[in-house]
Amino acid sequence: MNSRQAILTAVARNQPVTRPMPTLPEPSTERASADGFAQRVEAIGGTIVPISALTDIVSYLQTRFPPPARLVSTLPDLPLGERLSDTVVPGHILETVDLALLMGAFGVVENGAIWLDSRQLPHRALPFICQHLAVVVSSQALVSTLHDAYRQLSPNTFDYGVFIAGPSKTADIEQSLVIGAHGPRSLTVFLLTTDPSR
Amino acid sequence: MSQRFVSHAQAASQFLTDEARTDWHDETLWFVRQKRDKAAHALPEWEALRELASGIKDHALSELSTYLTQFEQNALANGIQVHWAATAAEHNQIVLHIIRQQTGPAPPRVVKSKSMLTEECHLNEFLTKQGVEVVDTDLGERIVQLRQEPPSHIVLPAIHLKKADVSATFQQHLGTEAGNEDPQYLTEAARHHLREKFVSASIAITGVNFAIAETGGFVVCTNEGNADLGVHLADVHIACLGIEKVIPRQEHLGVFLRLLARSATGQPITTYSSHFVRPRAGQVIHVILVDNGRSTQLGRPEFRNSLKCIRCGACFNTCPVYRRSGGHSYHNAVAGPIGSILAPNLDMRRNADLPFASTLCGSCTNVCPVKINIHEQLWHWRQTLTAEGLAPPAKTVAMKGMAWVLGHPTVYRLSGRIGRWVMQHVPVLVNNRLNPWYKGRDMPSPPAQSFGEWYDKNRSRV
Amino acid sequence: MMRVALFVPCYVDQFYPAVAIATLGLLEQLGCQVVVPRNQTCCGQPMANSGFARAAASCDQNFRQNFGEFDHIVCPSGSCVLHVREHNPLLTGQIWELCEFLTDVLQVRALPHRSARPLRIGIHQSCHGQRGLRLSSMSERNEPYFSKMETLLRLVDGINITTPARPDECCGFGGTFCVTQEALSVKMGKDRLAQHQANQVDYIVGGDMSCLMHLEGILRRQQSPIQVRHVAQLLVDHAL
Repeated sequence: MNSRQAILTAVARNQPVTRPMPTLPEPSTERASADGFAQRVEAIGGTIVPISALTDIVSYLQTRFPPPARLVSTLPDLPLGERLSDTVVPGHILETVDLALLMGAFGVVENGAIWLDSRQLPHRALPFICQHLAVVVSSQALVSTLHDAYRQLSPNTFDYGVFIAGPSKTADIEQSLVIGAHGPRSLTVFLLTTDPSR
Repeated sequence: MSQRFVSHAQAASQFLTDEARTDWHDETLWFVRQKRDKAAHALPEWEALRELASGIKDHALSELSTYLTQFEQNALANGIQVHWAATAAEHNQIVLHIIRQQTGPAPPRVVKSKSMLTEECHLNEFLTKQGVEVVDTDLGERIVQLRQEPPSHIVLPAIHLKKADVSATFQQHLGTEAGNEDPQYLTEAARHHLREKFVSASIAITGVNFAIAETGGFVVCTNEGNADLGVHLADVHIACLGIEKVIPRQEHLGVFLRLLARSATGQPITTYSSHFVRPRAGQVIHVILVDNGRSTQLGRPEFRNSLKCIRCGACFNTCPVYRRSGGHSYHNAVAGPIGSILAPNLDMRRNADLPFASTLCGSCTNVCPVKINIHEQLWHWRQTLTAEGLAPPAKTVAMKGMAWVLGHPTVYRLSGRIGRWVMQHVPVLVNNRLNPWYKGRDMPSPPAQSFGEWYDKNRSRV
Repeated sequence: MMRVALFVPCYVDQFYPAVAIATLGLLEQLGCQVVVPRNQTCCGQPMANSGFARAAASCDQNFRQNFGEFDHIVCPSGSCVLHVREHNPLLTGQIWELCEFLTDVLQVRALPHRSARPLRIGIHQSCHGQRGLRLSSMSERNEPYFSKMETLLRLVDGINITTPARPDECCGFGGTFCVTQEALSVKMGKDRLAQHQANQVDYIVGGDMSCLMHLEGILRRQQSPIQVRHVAQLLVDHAL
């Protein structure tokens, strides 16, 4: 008997009688709060920059990352840095990226996390290997809790996906929080609130 | 890293000889426990969430064979290669085989993010003997790896070390400035050191926090981003997981990820929660499903519940014994209360002391996000171990003698009287170095008469 | 008049008769008819927690022989009560820890006396009473605050209750743990005491003399003026 069969046989023999599958909570009824999201992002070490149009991003980033900083972006029609569109191979060429600007799929109010998946990422390494990360999230694309977040994610619609909550961090040396462990040293979240009057 | 065996009690006494450092260790971990409390108490539905997580795990374990098969089928359909390892040794062989297959005769460049399973299997030791260098990329794990020590905590591997220790280690291995103990500086040094490793690695090993039967995918959580940096740059990703990590559906992640980081560090979620479903173009993903005693534990009704563990480490941080004895005193890859109920399943004789490294205070059970009855299992392990003849002979004799006395009221009353008489008239017989109670505490002053004697004199007519 | 059996744990019988006398007096003051079965010894916990539950069968049987006929058994120790409840399933009556018997069964709402002198006390929650019997809420859980012992102590005038910085950490007694892990046990006890000492308490008050015996041993070694008291000793009206 190979190990697969041996394990499955032992498990089948030893598992107890079936216990019921619990039901998950109902979707949140309260509207996902953009203020709550912004507060949470700041609390976990991110920076919130409210914007009313994508073009607001350009001057903000140009001031903070002047040449020769290497900026890459996946946002179409934005005159900023290198535009990365299709798949980038290999990821190593991204090692010199100073700032990556990406479009987030949605944000989660309860924990400040932003979902990005293979549909938004030219390379999976990009949000980790860049020195600084900036993500655009629409205030229309917020959910209250992680339960609600998974309702947005149909199984098998992405090959890879990640919740990103703040910049990379560690507290492995005497519990002192250090921002910028291996991944980005900062996370800027451009919170896009479309003003209907404009 | 096999050393002479030292029991938990001996190691704890050793740890306690530096009282200031013990206090520091205790307070550092208590601070983490307080952060956990703050996060847990901020969610009104916390207790319901624990119940839910416990229920999902109960269900998943009760149909584990089905979910394992389903996970395998879906993972294969996603283009992931699936391996099964009955033992730690088989797991290590599979990893070695994959590495050799990938790199041929060239020296392999392997990075590894945190995986308690690979610690349990002693993978690093094994690969090193085979000439394969593995670089641990979690900062805490890299620190202890450079010091040739095992991690002392499943979430905070270097929590037993002070800044000065890390500074000295980095000075020796990474060439940092002598005496510079600034965590920011030291972390930056590690960042540069490990970036080189990430960029040059061809193989990345990770653990797995959750595997999802419904999708064939799996989730890895880190704060540093080291798991992702490793796997996204390497050609091969080897993900090692215990068979108990399989959960039925993707939506269940909502429950577990809400609990995991809050319980572990008080964060609302880890910085990165990465979902791997299909390999990227040109990449190979291997998943190794490891039993190593888990199916046996599943068949022990009193201990089955331990397989619900999501490795948050909350029971470590709350444990008054762990905080004052340090992770290494548990001589097992997983220390703390949860380690004390998992370890005897791996090796009953070697780990017979661990279920006794507890006051049964029950704090662990009540912080556990999946409601494992840890302190009750410690109690049950005590019964199992003594039944297996693994109690020290003197203790067995003492306990049987005590049971006999307490089972016979007349003998009990007489012994009590003699005992108190001795304590009053020949105190040196108890107040001496052979009495462990007396070492740090005075004995209670024995009263002239017991309650029973008082009652007989004063109230005998009821 | 409610008829209750008093179970006096073996170490209380031998070392702390005053606690048993206070418990007896308190129950009588509250209108109970208290019976003390004379062949009682021990609940069996010391053996069971050491891994020898099966060796404690004679103890369990002796317990049932003494207490089998009573509907209500009251005991001034949360730890012993927890053990009997969990591990002596053949016992027919209900066993109560003293505080919960007072708050839940007798539903005591008033104790019309003052403490002999103004007292500053710190409560020591025994883990078995707190987490095992749920005599109070615990800091681990997200639940409303409650404490049966504190509710009772607040009924006595002149008692000022302080809370240690870590409200419910274990004192390190732990049964045979206190000798098999002597160094850890003493360290845990010292740490527990330090927080009460910071509050400048007169008494450390608890529902389990086992914890208090351990803490008292350290206090005496430290030559500290702080005394330990069982809750019954503060609730009983000494003037009666």
